[in-house]
Amino acid sequence: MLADVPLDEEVVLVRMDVDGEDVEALLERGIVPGCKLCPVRHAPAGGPTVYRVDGDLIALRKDLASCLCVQTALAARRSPAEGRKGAARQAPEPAGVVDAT
Amino acid sequence: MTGTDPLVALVGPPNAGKSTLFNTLTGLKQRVANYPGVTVERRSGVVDEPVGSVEVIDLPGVHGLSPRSLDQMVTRDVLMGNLEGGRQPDAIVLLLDATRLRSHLMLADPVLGLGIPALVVLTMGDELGRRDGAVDPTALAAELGVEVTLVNARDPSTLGTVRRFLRALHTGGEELRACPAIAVADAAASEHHPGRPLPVVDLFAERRKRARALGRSADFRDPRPSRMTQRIDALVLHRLWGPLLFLVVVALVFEAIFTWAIPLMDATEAGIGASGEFVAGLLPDSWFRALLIDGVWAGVGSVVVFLPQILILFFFIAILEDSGYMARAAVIADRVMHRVGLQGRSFLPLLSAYACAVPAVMAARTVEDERDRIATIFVAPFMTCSARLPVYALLIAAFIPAGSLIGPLGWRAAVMIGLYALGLAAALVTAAILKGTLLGGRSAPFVMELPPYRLPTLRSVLNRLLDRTKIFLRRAGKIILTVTVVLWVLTQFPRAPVGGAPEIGDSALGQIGQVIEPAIEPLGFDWRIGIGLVTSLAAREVIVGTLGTIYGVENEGEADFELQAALQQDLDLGSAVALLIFFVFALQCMSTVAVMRRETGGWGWPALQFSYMLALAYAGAWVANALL
Repeated sequence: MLADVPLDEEVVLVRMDVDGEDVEALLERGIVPGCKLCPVRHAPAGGPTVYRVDGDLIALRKDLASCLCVQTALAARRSPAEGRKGAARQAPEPAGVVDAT
Repeated sequence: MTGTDPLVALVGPPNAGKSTLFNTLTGLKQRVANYPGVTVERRSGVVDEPVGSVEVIDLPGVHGLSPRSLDQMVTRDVLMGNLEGGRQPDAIVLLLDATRLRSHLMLADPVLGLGIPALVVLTMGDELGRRDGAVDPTALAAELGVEVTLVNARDPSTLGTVRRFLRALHTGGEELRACPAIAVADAAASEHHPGRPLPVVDLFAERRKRARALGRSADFRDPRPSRMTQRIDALVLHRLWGPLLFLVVVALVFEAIFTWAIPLMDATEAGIGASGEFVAGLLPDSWFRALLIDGVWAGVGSVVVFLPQILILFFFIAILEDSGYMARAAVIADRVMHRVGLQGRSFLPLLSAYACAVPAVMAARTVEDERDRIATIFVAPFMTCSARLPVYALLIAAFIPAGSLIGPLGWRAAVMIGLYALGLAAALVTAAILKGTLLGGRSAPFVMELPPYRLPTLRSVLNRLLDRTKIFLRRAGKIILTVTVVLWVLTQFPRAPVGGAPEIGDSALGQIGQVIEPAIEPLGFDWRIGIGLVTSLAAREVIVGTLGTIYGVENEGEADFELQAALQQDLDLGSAVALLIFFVFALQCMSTVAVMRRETGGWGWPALQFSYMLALAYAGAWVANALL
């Protein structure tokens, strides 16, 4: 779970166990399965934790971070079938967009 | 602003530089209003080009077009042509922060997918270069099928393409292209329709995948993480210095509102008084002059006096927000706010409420979750707004001895602090009760992005202050004007036999006071205070002027002393403290009720809020009067 990741360790988001309405607040900000997250700072006195997500800084409370299932970046690379990241790497994405254009 | 000018909407995520671009383009030719039925502000302005003018609207910052928050709902409705009098914008300018292109590109699909001619503006071009990032706008344009330009929104010389695009609305140039491809590729427009093709997580996964592909084909290179932002965050979110700095900032804002604002408020008051006398001198003695000067001038003046204070508050808020600190403050405050069922975003509205509940209620729209937003605006009027200060000051000076309580802390200061603390405690307890009952259920997620630190520009700060002034004066104009005129009329009738205004006790207002006297007797108040309570419904500080009139003393210069003496004959310590406590709790402010009604879309919440606060006030005052 994201809440257990130590500071400065980059992980890949695998699954989101969050309710429909709440999940959108995360999705719209780029917290989408396959994205890389890295906890960079804990707010004082057990407050939210600040994560680096694709170059943005986003603060999440611990309860929400405990609903986000992650794996280490290394593991995500090793098992491409599991994480979306792996799938994304294999798919010829630019082609998809060219088709659409 | 003829209404026939082509309409262009600025769309983009928060902190992408929309307002900066808007200000650079339109200069001072702007106006602020509200969208009908909602409190989201509509900022529009006119850009004059040689070929004709273009009306530009600056939409609120959004992350998507799903109706998750008020801001997103309004943006979506404007873009779909459901607002703006059913008019769909003729073109969209989509602003994306070039340094955060990875996430910001996710907004391209839903916005460009609407099929409206669009220009994509990548802002912060200078910062991207400085931090060794790169992007090729031409390549991105080729992928998207619409023009893309890299700008620095503060620097007009980089805005050539934007201006050419605006001109094309008149000349029909080929810059005016929509992006049909994505409309086909993305199902975003059908978000939230039953039976939409993709579950929401997959939809966004798709969107993100395409955003990455777009970034790749535009040769986007991530900038280095901003070292300045890292360094400042290390201090601002430090476990010791962070909270300390937070308290210093809050203290500074307070000091500014309560100390620095005083000379300005005095000057404003003097200006209003002098101008009233000047106008009075020009008019013959008549009922009209009395209404204009004693009613309108005094009534509206008593509210306009607070303008300097509100401007100082918003000056700080503008700087704290534009610099990026406010998001950090919300993160720090979240821990405490969460305990009582609120969240970090509620911090800003509640801080604003110390100046005035009206802007606080409006500021609460940044609280995305509806239940948190309602809870925030419900408790905001408990914060000690500046309109309570004159009342506190008068009663404390009249009834609390000046002596020392502990060391340098005098009795009077201690009582003042106590009243502030009582209001805060009531707010927190009420929030906890609300979240445990009416607004219960799941707690909303706290997802707060921390924008990079940036130097606020003078232009943007001044523009915001100008907006605030316009909004505040308009409101003071409408509501306070009406109430003061009604109150004034009530003091004038029935006319006395000799033709003049009646004695205050015989006037309609005095009779109202005597009718309610039995209700307030248990609190130790007589009909005079009763009238004060009624008139202060318009605005709390009005009670001071009303009591001045009733006791027949001129409320000028040293008159406070006479008023104090008169009050000491009518109230004892118990009833004076009861009156103070009544003012801590009661919602004696029609402006707040009016803005509450608009914010919550009905009379239900304001009615509940008013009754609840009145009940607390009555009970609190009764206890104080009985005990002391």
